[in-house]
Amino acid sequence: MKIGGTTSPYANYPSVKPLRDKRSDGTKEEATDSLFAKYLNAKPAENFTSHVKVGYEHGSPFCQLLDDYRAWKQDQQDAALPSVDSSEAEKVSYLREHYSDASDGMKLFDALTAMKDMGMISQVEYSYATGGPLIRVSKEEMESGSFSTSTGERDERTYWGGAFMKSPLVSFHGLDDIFNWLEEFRKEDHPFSISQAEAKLLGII
Amino acid sequence: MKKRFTSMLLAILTVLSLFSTTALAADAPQPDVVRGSRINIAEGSTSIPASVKVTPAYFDGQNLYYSGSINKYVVNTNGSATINLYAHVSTSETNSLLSDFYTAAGENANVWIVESIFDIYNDVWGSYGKYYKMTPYGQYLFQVDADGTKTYNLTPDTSSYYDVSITTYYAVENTSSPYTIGISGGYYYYNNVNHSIQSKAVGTLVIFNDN
Repeated sequence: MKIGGTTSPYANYPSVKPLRDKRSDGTKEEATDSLFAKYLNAKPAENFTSHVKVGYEHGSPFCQLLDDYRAWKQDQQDAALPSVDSSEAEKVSYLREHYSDASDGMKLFDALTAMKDMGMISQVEYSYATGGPLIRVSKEEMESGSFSTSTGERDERTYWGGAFMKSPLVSFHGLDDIFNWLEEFRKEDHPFSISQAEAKLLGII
Repeated sequence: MKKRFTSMLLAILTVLSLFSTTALAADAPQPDVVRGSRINIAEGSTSIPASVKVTPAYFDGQNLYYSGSINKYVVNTNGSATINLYAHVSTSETNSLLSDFYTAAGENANVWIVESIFDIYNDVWGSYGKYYKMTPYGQYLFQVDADGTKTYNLTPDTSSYYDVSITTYYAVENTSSPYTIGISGGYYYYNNVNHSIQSKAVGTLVIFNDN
């Protein structure tokens, strides 16, 4: 993967408005054209004082999506997924049958999860689709700890939401978007992990 | 004549008294004034916890791996947590966080990463932060000094405001009982008004299985 280049998996679906853009009045631009706008527009927990218990809604946007997905899944009828050993055609047929009309984020995310469960996509591909590669810290870095100073305002949403905020997933609007992204993604090799410096260059931490 | 002199003397004394009172008030340490999330410092410097982010991670003996999308993050927006900022994470939330990491990474988390951000506010008289001296809690995985603390030295900076990020690492404990990780200790600064080194308590702590 070329860091910061046009072949970055994040560059494939630029339709989601970048959250760091600001309106003329200085307020944040909100994502409205994503099926996952609810999570993209979530705000970090505030006022942690007085020993207020932190609710799960204070997890990162992707944690919130996973939490909602678990609850949503419980209300769905069990469908027998083709096994990992089934043919590719059978798996695609299953996806077409169950997710061609996927017009809400939860169902689309379910399709992506089903693809992982059926072995159609690898763990690494799933990680990239929902965020990015894992970020790597060496043993030496861990043992010494890290320390930095900065001035100016932090972009809280990027800092909190991380790679999910720019993930291909948040730009998917249908099953074909997943297939198209996967086809493009597989044209290049992608590392299992990247260093923190690379992640900073990509703007995902 | 004597009466007029007495009146003048009284007036002069009154003016001097007012001057004196004003001067004393300006010299006396002023209480911190919270303005939104910002703090005005009349004299010296201070540091307050701004936020804490806890992230699960997997350590394979050589490298640590984490997902940039899985974390819990809390902001101290009103500035009222001036010493320690606590994150309370229930047992179900702790388990969800670990489960989410497994979903995203395909590995079981065995390390917590805690990123603590502290805001530093300086006066206009040239006071500045010198260092943090912190005591870690829990099963920390980073090196500390012989006295069990870790010192983070600051480059002298007299800016009115900037922030400091300290990242620390801890083992995930295999228990359903509450346990605490994080750092707490002192912020040491040079007071350029009275030319002395002073300190202020500060820290960020995460409590897991806190139901």
